Amino acid sequence: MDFDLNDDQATVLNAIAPLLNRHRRLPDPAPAVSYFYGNALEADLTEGGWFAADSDALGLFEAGLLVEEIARLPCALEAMVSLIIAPRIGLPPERRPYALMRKDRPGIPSRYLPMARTVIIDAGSHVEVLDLDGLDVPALDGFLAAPYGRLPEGAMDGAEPLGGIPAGRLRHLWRLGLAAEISGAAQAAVDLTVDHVKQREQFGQPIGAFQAVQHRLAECATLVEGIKLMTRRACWSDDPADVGLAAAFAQNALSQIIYDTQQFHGATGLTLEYQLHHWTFRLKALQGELGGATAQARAAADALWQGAA
Amino acid sequence: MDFSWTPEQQRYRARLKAFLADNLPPDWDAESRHDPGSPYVVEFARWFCPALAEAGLLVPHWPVEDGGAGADPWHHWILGEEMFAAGEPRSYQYMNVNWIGPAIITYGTAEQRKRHIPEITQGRVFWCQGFSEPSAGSDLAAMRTRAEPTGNGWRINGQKIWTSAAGCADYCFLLARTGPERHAITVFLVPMNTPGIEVRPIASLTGKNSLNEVFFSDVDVAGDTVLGSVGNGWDVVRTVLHNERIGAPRYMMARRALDRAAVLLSRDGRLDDPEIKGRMGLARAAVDAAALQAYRVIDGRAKGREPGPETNVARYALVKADRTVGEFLADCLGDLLLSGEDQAIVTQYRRAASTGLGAGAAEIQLDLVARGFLDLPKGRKS
Repeated sequence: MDFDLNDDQATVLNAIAPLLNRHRRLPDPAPAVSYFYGNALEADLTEGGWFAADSDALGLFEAGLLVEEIARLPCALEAMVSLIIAPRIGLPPERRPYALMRKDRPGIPSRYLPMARTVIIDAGSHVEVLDLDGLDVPALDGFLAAPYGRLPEGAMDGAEPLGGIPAGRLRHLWRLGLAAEISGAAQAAVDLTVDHVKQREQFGQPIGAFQAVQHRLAECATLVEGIKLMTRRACWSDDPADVGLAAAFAQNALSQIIYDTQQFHGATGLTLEYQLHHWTFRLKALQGELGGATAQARAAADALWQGAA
Repeated sequence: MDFSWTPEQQRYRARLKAFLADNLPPDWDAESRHDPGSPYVVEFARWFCPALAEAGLLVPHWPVEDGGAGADPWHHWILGEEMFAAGEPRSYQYMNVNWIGPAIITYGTAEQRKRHIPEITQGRVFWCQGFSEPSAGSDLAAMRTRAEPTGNGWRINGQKIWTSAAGCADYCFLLARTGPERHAITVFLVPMNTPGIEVRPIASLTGKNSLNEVFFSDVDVAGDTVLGSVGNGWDVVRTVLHNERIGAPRYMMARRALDRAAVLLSRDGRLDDPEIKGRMGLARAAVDAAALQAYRVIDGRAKGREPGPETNVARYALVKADRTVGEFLADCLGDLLLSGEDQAIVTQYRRAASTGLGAGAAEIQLDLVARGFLDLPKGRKS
């Protein structure tokens, strides 16, 4: 085992760092919005050819690293499906941005649907693809830090089967992507909170000097480290048990991470001018996706113990 | 990053498994109850550790000149994983291998190494750790046990508590105060048969003879029992604690208990219960998170890095994992816990009670994570 990035892995991160550094802050003054879609980031990534890299050029581990890094930025962007899922089920970058949906729940709002050109559909046993070209899906007025939209009734009927891809593979990659997105956004939320509690003074000292605050943030940090290592192992092995465990651990940790990072910001964290919600309320969106932590845990349990006797 | 075991590491693990299969008696689980302090396991270890040593499997990670094979820290860790998963047939000799021996190798004189190291590498000796006292638990530097110079040696008076292995130990790795300053502490390597030492077992929930009180009344020891120099005990302890915190791969028993739970639940037709399956998966996720954080610490050791606050993060993850698995067992396999039929499950449940206490309380780990890992400021003492 080796817990340092190897040269190839580090090269990918180093190559994209200057691009991502241009997007670490929202425009100043920060727009008072529940989410900020990263159009400029998307343009930079497209121009840099990051979405065009096929799965041979960008392995799953490196794709996971990129999704993690992109999720650390305050803007919301459909990058996970484009980097992790699409190249592995044969969908080209020209059809992005993508949204993910389930065939049996066509009326449920879907993340990034208002921006999406293509919907990838989990049809139970197989995968279907719906071309949204020309279909206007308005963003719902919500509080989560990502755009959600709802397909018009009957729109899913036009979906075409995607040959050769079992739905299990789609769900597996979806889980992996979720874990990577959570890893990056949770790290960013904790980092921002640690900075905040070092600055914010009450009772004559930084609130980060109080043990009540320190212990809870130390717990959050332990969870974030766990999420990161579990996710990286899953991206490295592409193993169903590892992937299920990583996503289950990540989603399960969010109730504590979201609550504590929000709590330690006080009322400041509730304002739209402040950045925190761009991560915490994105994490709230990710917390229940694909059935939530217990669904991923059951998938892991199936992979680990099916046939135990 | 790379999460694979090398072919050589896999062969080594297979060799350990084969050794255990060949050398543990068929009724090992039932007889040992995975209780390292029980008379049965202590006696078994007096045969088993020399056999391990004979096979070159007791201290492979130690330097060649100290009786090891110069293998890297991963070999130490894999050895610990397999032994722990088997219910620790080395009894408390695992402490010798993990940190007592390394501390003597690092800080001992040539004479001390010559006296103690061969006994350890041959698997013939038990050590206990004389750290905690009734008024010095998490605040270890508050200890009162003192050693006073007698001219040609030291006279020790005081009391230690929660001392595992004291009843079977040949030596105590003892901390005693040698000056009035808070950190004026010295390590003594004290033979347990020295007159004036009295061991009283404390009945506990964690196993037979696992906890003891040790009283030192005018215990005279020679000057050459001092490890390192007089007053540098705190430096020794800091090194020791880093090795101890991530020393026993406790998650292995948790993993084994979950695997057993899957078999037993499957037989009962309950493995497909969505609630149970979800809880089991989440418990295993906590276990793997702890394992990976421990591996990161071992990776640092293998690369010769100074131990850092990742050790405390890893220890806290271990506490959380044991607790999560313990809660799962209590909630979903309570009947099995009551009947005590399956030793792996009972052992895991019982051990989980002490994971957050041993090697530094969980809250101390959180203090260290907050300050060392997150760089949060030190507050005023109230």
